[in-house]
Amino acid sequence: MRTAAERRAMLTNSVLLAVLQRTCNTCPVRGIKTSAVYLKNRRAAIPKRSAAGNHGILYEKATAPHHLGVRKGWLTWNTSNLYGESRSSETALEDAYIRKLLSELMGVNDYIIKRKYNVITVSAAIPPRKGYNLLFFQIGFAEEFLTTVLQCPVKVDFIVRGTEDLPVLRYI
Amino acid sequence: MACNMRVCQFNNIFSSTPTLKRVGTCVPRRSVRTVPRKIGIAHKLQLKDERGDQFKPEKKPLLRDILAPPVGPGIIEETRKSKPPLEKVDIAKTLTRADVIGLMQESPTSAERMSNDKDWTKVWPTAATFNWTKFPVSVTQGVKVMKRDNPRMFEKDVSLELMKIPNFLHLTDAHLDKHCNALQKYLSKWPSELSSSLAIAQHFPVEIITEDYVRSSPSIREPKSRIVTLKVRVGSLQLNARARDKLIRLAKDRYNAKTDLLTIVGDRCPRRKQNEDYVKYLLTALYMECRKVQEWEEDVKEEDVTKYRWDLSSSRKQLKKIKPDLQDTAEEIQQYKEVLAELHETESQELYDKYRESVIKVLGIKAASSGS
Repeated sequence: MRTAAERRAMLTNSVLLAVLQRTCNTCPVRGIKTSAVYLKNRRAAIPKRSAAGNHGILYEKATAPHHLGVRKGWLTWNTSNLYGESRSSETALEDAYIRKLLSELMGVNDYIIKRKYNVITVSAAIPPRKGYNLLFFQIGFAEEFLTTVLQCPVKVDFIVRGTEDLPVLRYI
Repeated sequence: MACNMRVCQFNNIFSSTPTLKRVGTCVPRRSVRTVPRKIGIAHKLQLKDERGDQFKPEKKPLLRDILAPPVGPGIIEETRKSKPPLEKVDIAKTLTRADVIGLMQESPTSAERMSNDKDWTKVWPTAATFNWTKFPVSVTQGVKVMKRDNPRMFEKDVSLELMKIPNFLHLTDAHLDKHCNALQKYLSKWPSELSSSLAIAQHFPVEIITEDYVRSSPSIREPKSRIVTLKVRVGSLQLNARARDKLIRLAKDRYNAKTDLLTIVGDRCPRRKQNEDYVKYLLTALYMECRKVQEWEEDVKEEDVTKYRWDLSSSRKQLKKIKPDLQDTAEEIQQYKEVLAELHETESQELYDKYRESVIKVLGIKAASSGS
């Protein structure tokens, strides 16, 4: 016969063993690490492949961020991020605001925001649609609204594309 | 940025407009475009000729022809002879704005209509984002990474890459010529007296440096542009040795002994003009202060001076003891003084030899043969 103390010790050991085993089985990396997870196998802004391989992507999305300045250009052009210049955070926030507003308004995702002096020029390639009155309204609205909100002249320079549908670069 | 530009003979392609054939609602119009555009408005316009039939031009009507219909040769002219002329209908009044835009959409782009001798400076007068409808050359930009990548993506009418990059289409030779010609009348000849930098420094000893900043920001004001720097060569100021010494002492690290430049930086005031005035005031005040002689300046001693002065030195006292009759203006003493002052600046064997000779002369020692 075992004593009560022995039984208690056995129970504790078995529980501990079970917890340890479960941890080892479920944990992707065995052992304990105190350093931050490196995530070497994951990269940002790489589109995920679809199961059927029929998901079309455009050039902007197909080219990864580390190819910026090599295979594709920047969507934002300003001097804020140069050495010794101020208001880089404000510029980034304004850009995000402009993109958000215009993508909701126009249904187009990629906008090129160029800043020169105090003028912000927003350009985009807009598909040719039937409602040109609507397009003119959208341009006027965007210019007036952004100029009022950002307190500086904003020029909206939309160029109508040659084709209705944007050609897809590749299907993934 | 990889850029692939192929220049095709666009004028040969686009000058011969293909004849218009109506097949349903689609018109295959250009060889360049892969997807044909739909005819949106033209068929809705009830353009009728004199016989009351629908107006069917051989060529695709341009917008300007529709707004002001030409009196063409052929059938229309012949029928006019037999029938009385109809009332002129101002089509421009019957068109809505949307119709006009639709017609513009269907008509060839300005790049396609462009002739060979077109003035490019009028097409692209200022800096602008790339516009495919104005640029008459076939350009592509982008990198084809995979074999299956669609090359249509890189063409000028859909490529976003061409719109991203800052282009220099507003800075061609023709543009620069125009700029130069326009600026010519504001230029004057450079004065021949100021041919060298030395002459400029002589005529303009005071230099005032300010900086202007160009950047992208809602405010065009830059706080750093208020800073004014004044540079002046101390040698160009009319100062005696005492005043010069005083100025250098007062200026402290603002004076550079190597270049003999006095640099005063003004950045205290919020405006450039104020700083400029302040800097000029400082220079004036410094100059006037240096020219004043205070009472305490008279009893200056050897350890006070920055540069060796023989008249304050212990050497003079000793010499006075040995040779009390010798005047300071004597030739031997002048020579001795100069060599000693030089020896405080630099050292060389020649100087030591000179020093030796001068000492012998001053003390009146009958020298043994030199070099002993």
